[in-house]
Amino acid sequence: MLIKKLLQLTFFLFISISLVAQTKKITGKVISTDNTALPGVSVSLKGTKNKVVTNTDGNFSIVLNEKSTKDTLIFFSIGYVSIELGLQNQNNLLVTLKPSISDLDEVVVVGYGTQRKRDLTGAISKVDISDLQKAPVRSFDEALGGRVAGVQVTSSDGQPGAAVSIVIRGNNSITQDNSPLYVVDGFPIENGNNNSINPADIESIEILKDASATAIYGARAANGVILITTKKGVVGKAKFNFTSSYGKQDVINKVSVLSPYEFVRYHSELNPTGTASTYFTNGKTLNDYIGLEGVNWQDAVLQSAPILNNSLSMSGGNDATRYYVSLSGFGQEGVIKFSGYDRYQGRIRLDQVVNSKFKIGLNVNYTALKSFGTISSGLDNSSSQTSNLMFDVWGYRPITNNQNFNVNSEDELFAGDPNDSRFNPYEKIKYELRNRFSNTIYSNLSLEYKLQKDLILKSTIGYTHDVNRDENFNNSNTPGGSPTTVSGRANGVNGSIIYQTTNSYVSENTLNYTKRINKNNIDIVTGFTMQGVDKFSFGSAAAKLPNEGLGLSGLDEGTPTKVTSTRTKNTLASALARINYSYDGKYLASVSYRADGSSKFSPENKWSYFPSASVAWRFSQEKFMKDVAFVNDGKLRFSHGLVGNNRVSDFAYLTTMYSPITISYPFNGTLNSSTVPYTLGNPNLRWETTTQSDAGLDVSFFNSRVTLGIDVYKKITKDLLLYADMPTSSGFASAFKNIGSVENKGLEITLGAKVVNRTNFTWNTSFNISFNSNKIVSLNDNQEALLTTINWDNQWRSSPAYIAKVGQPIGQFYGYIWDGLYQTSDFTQTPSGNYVLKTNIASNTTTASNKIQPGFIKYKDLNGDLVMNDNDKTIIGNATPKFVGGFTNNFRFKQLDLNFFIQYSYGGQLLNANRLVFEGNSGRLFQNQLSSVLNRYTIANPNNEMYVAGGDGDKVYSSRVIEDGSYARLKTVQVGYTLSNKYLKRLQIQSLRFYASAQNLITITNYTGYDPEVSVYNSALTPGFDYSVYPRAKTVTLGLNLNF
Amino acid sequence: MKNRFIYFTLFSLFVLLNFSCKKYLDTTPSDVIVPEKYYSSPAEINAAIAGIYSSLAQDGTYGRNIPIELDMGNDEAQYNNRNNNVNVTSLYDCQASTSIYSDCWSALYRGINAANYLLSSIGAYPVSDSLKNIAIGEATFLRAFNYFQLATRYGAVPLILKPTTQVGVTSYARNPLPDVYNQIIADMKSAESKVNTYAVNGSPSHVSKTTVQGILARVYLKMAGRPLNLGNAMYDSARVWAMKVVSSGTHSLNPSYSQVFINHSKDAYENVYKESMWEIEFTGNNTPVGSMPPGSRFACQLAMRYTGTDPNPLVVYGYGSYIPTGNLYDIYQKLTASDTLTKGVDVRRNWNIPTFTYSTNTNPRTATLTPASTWDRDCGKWKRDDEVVIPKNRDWGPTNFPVLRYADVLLMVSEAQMELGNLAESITYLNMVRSRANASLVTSVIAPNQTVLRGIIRDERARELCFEALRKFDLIRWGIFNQVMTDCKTSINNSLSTASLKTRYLTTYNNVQLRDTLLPIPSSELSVNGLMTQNAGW
Repeated sequence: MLIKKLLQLTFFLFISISLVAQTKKITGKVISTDNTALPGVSVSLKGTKNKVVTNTDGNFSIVLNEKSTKDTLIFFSIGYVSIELGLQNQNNLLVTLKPSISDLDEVVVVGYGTQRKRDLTGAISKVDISDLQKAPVRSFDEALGGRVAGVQVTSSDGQPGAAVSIVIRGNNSITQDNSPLYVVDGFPIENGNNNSINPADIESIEILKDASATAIYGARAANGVILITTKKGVVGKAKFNFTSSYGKQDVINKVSVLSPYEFVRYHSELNPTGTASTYFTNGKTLNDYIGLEGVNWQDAVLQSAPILNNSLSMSGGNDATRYYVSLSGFGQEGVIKFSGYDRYQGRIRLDQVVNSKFKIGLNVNYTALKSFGTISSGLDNSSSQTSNLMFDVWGYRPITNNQNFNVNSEDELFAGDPNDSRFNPYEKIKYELRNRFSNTIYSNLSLEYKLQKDLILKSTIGYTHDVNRDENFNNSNTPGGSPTTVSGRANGVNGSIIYQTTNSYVSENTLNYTKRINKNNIDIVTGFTMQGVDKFSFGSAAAKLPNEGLGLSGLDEGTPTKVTSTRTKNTLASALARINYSYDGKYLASVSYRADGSSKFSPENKWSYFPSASVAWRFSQEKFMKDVAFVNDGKLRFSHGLVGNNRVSDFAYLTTMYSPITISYPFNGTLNSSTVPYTLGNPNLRWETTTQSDAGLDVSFFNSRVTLGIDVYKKITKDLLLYADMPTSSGFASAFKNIGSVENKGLEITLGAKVVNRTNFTWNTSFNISFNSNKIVSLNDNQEALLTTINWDNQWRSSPAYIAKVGQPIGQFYGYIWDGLYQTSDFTQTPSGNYVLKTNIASNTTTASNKIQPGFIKYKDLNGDLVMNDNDKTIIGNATPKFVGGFTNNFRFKQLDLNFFIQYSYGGQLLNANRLVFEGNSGRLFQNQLSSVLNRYTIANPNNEMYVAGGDGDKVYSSRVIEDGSYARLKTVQVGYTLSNKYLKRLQIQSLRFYASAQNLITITNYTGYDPEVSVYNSALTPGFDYSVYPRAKTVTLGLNLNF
Repeated sequence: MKNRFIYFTLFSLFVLLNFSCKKYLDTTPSDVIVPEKYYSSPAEINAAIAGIYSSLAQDGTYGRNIPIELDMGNDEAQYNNRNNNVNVTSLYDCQASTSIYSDCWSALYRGINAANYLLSSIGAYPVSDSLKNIAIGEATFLRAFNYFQLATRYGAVPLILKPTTQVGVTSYARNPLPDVYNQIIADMKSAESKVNTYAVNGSPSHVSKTTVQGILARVYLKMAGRPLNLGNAMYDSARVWAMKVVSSGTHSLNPSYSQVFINHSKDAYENVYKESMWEIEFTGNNTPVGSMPPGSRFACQLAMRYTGTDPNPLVVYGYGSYIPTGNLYDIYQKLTASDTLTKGVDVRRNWNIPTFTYSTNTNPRTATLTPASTWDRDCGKWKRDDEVVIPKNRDWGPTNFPVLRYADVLLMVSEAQMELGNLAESITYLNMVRSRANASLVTSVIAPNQTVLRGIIRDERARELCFEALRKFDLIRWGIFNQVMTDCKTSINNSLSTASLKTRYLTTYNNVQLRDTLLPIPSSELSVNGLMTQNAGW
């Protein structure tokens, strides 16, 4: 009826306008970004009183004076950002108004849906994506650290593509993975590669922290959930965005090693005969080495490395079709020569409204990744500390007695010492082929059908296909294949290729029901999902390749050494439901429930159930708050729920037999396949369950210029999926059990402020801090403590570096307490001048007591029995920081903008194992040392710090090498200038922005290694270990951003 | 209407879910074999048996630790501590957390568990009874042999005779030592009737009937001595079982003492004399790495020292980490006065303690040593230049380890007869061994009484069996381990003049304690096994 009337009215208007010859008529429609018509929008002609209002369908029509050609229309509506539109001969406009986002109206993506921030009852943090995108990095996780309270991000080292570990609210699991579940556009991924997402494609990142927010993801949610939503097209004119940046990366700092003179001098004290016969020939003396330059091996392998990023996107759409297309290319060389990372990526996203009931969406992303270069750290097992790259770089001697010595010469060989694999580091990085390719296609098809007005059925099918290819090749110039090394002689030129394919698919079907009855708002989502992961790997290695020039294609000519072939799969089926209820926007409640069935457990234990509930009270809506004017909004939240963790191998419940070639037994000299019981299955294996409670307060003050968020939480994880030690008398070393318990408690504070908010000048700031304390409540049966070794070297294989003890945090350092050095007062001097250790002084466990001399390293004899052994070992440090956080500032002055971001971490300690090897550890011939040995003990310089040359120190872990890892870092800085003027408009360019960005610009720390953000053997049990890391880079880039 | 629609949809979804999920979640592993489906064909049984044998071919067992770290540090050989190292098992300065103790312990128990799996499952499968019988025999014997290793090294250990199938049980108490030995005896006796004869086996690879008999004699000798000290009844049983080997007529001594060990290095078997009765087998040179089982390391650790830059292919390389003691040299000298007059030198002395070191890689045996330096020689029992696998690997080799030789069986007969007072018979068997070695024959004049003969036999075991992982075992069962170690100290003090060398060589004997007749229970076991207790003194 109304419509009819309006039509008549329009008809009438149309007639009347056509009657007036001097005027022209502009018609159009105003919609919101979610493509719905906006009624009641005022449309006015700038500078006049000419004004109309859109009708219920969002349509308007305004009559203008024919003569005016430079007319501008102003569109205004409460809750939306006003826009001004210059008219250029159009007469049918489609105008999109963006909702003006007050923080509270901001839409937040939650599990299986979205919510307004004001309606949230759980602890969900939205990452400020525009700030994050200012960091000149390859992937979002490199820039995430410090941005969100409660989220701790650690990258193992500075190698391009190095593993980044994200831990939300502390480690729950002792032996199993603690990384969160990633949900990319609704697709849950347990072990995704974050490098495959172009950060510029990301629309939003939400981090779900408490049980109320995560329990909808049930069995995989205990470690928190990170929701990533990619950009989609918006209705309107086609938009074209091109961003290009180029920059340089340089190491943050170098490690100082001995100069040629210092080196020769050190070794002449340590090994007088050997040094004399090598360095003091032809009449040369120590003084002849003063001022000689030698080779600085760090300079030889490090470089100022380029980083280049180009990214292009096009988006747009109309009522029915919206699209977003992007292409990007990223190239990064590493600060160590011949290493780097490349990414090529493309995405197509299409959203189509088929009819009033039916919508369809398609999202396809393809990424090709390549990382290359010698891996610098974290070599596992059976390896020697000397096969790590930095051992060569720091340990290679700076000078020989050969005048023509240079970085390319293969001058130095240590074949005599089976424990020394030193190799010319420049040759090593140049010739070692270490390529890792990853090609990932990700696709997602979603169908949405409006069954009834309030009832929407959504069905999503997703599929990812990921192929990894690892290529290794050791030619005759590499330590692995050179005829001058032990392993090279044994294996000859060798190489391997291994393919690993992961197929993952998901089908999710949800029903959404929303209803508003008076002041009651109800929102129900139910659904069921099925997901499966199929993995297989295949590859082979061959040695003694006759034609090294063929490279890896000559693998078929060699002797096959190893064939890899694995295949495994797991499936998950789930049902879920959530009800959100609110009354008058004041009282909010949410209940969710998920049932998960996993193939990883035996038939009796497949299913598990994860309920959660939360309530919130927006006390600011109450009458008594009306008088408290400075509080604009205030909300109290409480939540409680159960979440699970299923990170075990796919068939952990089965006992398996195994026949590897390496245990085959030769009968009569002929190898014979051997089969042994290999893993002990546990048919009773179940989910690990975390109970989490959270209380939160969100307040905004002073016209919403200041916002404060505080959360406290407590998590108790029970029935840990513990890869528990078994008594080896059982025939097995370990097995999965549901045993033990861990507790995490914490506090998170986030403070934001719009300090200045003028037209020409704005300043926004945001600060966050989080505290987490972690405690083992109980461990395996009978077990008081769990000791963990780091396999960085064979000789350290039986010295545990970490202890996990009941009542204490998970990953603490373990060893002796360093007690300085033996001083002459600890000895009696014999008439011949020899020092003999007094009988009431304990030896140092690494040296026979009759060999100990003044200046040797000393440890504390805790129990006073004069014998240094396991009983004197204790907890010597804790790698977990006391608090971490970040501080962001955004300034805008006219067209100039500045962003800087400081990340900090306080109270965590690091084990600097480099010092165990490079501070006078004297075992190896002519190994260069860190400059700290310059202050070594001599009778003339009797200090208590650095032991004497040949002091035979540091063969055990001690508090000497535990260092404070606290730091504050100016992590990201960006300065930009935006051009948007008539000259550009004439070129059809909407805006052009130039910017300069920097990452890791300044770091303040007392840590003596390359960088305090380090953890090369990272796990909950073994955090903060530093040995031979790839140095971290600071990056400075220049870029431009062009919008058409 | 609306609600009904929702309920209907939900209900149907749920039904659908339950229906399809059961199958959907029922994944079957495609990459692993479960024990329930194993042991069903001759090939699988053979592989399972090989898996039990392989527990003895690990670093923790005969691959390295049993002959080297866990047996050395006796009066035959000791760690040549060139770099003044500490925390070396054979220097007796280690703790229960040292991985060598747990490597040996866990490898032996892995073998026991593998045997238990086979024994508990094999009955159910349709494989011929004779095949099953042999497999059961070998598995039973190997389980008992592993327990024998555990009992002699660690004392009373938990006796686990069922496969471990559940993670729940994590505490195993020690069984009394006599129970452990009784089980060993019972298992070995039952195995003896099942395993093949040497003639059928054709090599010392698999355990033969005579092997079981010989090892049974060794077990009884142990039970006769410390710690059980069961005396003559046990000596008599030892005699009976050793004599079964002798009277089978299967084995005899190889006229060439050295050839026995050259064969180990060459991975060769001789089938004329069949002196070697059971060997732990190793093969290849571990290159390329990963393409084969790694092989043995004991020979490389023991081998005469040569550490020059190694050319390709490597001919010799030896760490010489463990050296014969001057004491061993002296033992060879004891009956030599008559040797030199009648027959020349006991061939075993210069084979086991060569008068040369390796000098060059191409012509290794050219560097001669002066006979005076008896405390600074290398072990030559297995010489790396005898290995035929080329190129040689510095750390890994093909040399097999002899667990039982016929010469040992003869000496066991001799020892048992001597202890039983039958001196004449004892001397007969003793002389069989001596005569092959070109050593003078013992007569009742030389050995007029039991005490003297006992001394000669004990020395003879060192002369014949040195470095074969039996010395510490022997000294302990004779109850003279700590005394002998103290005597070595005296002998070093008397015979060495260089102070630094003296200090170096004394370390072993200064450190050794009464506790060292047993190894510690590994701390990895203690920390999770609530019922386990530590050995005295550890």
